[in-house]
Amino acid sequence: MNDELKSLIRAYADGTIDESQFQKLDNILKSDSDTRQVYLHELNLISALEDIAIAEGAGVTQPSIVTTDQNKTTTRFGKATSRWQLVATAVVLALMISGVSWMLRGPKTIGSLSELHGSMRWTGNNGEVVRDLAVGERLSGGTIELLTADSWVVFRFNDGSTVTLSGESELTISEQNRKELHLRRGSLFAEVMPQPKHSPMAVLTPSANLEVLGTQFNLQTEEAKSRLRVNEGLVSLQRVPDGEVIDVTASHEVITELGDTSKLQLVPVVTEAETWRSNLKSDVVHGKWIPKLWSLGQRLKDAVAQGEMTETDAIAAYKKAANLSDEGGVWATPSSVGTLVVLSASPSPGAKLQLGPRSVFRIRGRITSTADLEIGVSLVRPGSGFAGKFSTTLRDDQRQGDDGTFYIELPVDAFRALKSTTTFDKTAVGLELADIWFLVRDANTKLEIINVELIEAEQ
Amino acid sequence: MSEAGENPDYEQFVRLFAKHERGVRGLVRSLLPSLQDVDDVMQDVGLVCWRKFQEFKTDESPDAFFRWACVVARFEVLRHRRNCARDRLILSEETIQLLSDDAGARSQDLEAERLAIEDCLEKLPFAERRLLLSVHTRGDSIAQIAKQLGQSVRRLYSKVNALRDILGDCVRGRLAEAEEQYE
Repeated sequence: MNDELKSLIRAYADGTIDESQFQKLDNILKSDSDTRQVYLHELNLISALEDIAIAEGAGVTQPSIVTTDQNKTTTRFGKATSRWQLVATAVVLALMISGVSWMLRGPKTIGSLSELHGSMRWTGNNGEVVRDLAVGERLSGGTIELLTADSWVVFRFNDGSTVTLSGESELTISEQNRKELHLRRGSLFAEVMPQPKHSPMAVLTPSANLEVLGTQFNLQTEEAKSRLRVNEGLVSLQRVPDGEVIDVTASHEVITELGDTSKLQLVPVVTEAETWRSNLKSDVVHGKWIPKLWSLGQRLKDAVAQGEMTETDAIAAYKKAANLSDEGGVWATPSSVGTLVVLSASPSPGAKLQLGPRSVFRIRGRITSTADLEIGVSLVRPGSGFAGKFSTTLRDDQRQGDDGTFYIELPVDAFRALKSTTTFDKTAVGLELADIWFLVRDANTKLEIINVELIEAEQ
Repeated sequence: MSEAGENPDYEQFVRLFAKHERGVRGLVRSLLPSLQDVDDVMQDVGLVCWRKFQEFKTDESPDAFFRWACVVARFEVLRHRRNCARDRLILSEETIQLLSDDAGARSQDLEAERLAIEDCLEKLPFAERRLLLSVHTRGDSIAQIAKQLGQSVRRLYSKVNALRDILGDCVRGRLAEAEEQYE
């Protein structure tokens, strides 16, 4: 068989064909009957493999019926299939035929869940809310919400493109004329198979619109800010407020922010950092940044009371000082499972924060009870997508400090993978830190994180 | 047509449809680019075949139902194509018509090929057989499997295509042997 023809046929059957290859294949098939025979032969082979894969994947021998007699049916594998299997087939057909097929079928599905962990809910386009999602669940369009910091889900489109959502996040997925994702908040990791040129995948966030033809990229979105890192291929990004467009190529990242009118900057991803100190004020994703200005607040309050300044001037002075000060802490705020702080691990733009075998987290904070403190990290593979989540739990007696303050040093090997799968990594060493979270499952406990550092332990 | 359970033709329909479903599905697969498209169309094919079953006139040939069901399937594929062709790469209507005609004419050959494929697949070493089947499993793209195996997509794709070639050669050999025996 002509190698080029074979490649074209297989690319069509595998869903990886591009538009020019497709036109070529269609034209040859139209004009040459010998080519059609070759095509049917090749597709018959692929179809047979798919049938066998489905049958073996289901753990049963597919009842592909060849001949029948009164009591039994012989399959192509030469095994006997009882009448009960025939009856079962009949029941399925009866359901299809007697007017309930729409119930079985529902709207056409656009993909399925291939991995999940943690608490989440799915709201389908018909408004139905599903909480007990399972791996393999086929879904039509809708919105998925991850409710906890330790959650993640992998959605796989029918063409093999995958979208991983991590941590508290909200994503609407649809596929009509093209694939469309609306990421309202959270972290998304996408591996997109080649899309038709006239209908690229669209990813919309509050601050940026992306067009994707086929690539691997990571995207973090908050209310007014998006950070896009492209690992393979190319993503076209348009900033929402002013429409400025930039093509983000492999190993580059760009940050967009509502209200930022400066020219978009393409930053190469090159620097590998192994140490980091959180800038709590800008890194907070869940929680409330409180600057260390209590005493100033009290003095201004007194000055207003004594008529030394107006209330308006006092508020303005306080706000100015608050904006200039980076000292303070992040207070945990309520989440669906307790009180929570999530910090994005954002070293300088373009820097990758990689965990080494001697990496140690240094954490300072305050807690108002003896409740357990859960600390977790979300990790990505260098130059690639989501690698999994790891966590550890510290009891009160494992935290150093007095009067509620604590100081913790946690080596990287103290963290354990939250779920053991073949897809995700089993050790944190060598992976990049995406975020870190602190959770107390007692909603009445107050928790403040004052400092987070990643250092390298001395040998 | 009345409810399935009350219809005297029902048992005959189920028997015929079950017998030829795989062949019809093979035809539909050869016309559409993904298993999901095939699943969607096959549901409609089953439904339409039942609704129109009273129109089916058998000529007593063993593949009469198959040929009739293939005509139904072709129309359903064309209808599916009209719904999806704007955003998907699906073969043109003319090509679908031509391929359907060719496939209908060689249904016996395609079935013989299938049996040969199953035999040849059994001869592959276990690991290679498993790899080949895993990339043809619903929803498991080669890219995804490459990631799980820690291999590059290109390398894995080459390996899978090499295995398809081995299987194709084996099938051709089997069919040639069978032809010689028949002669």
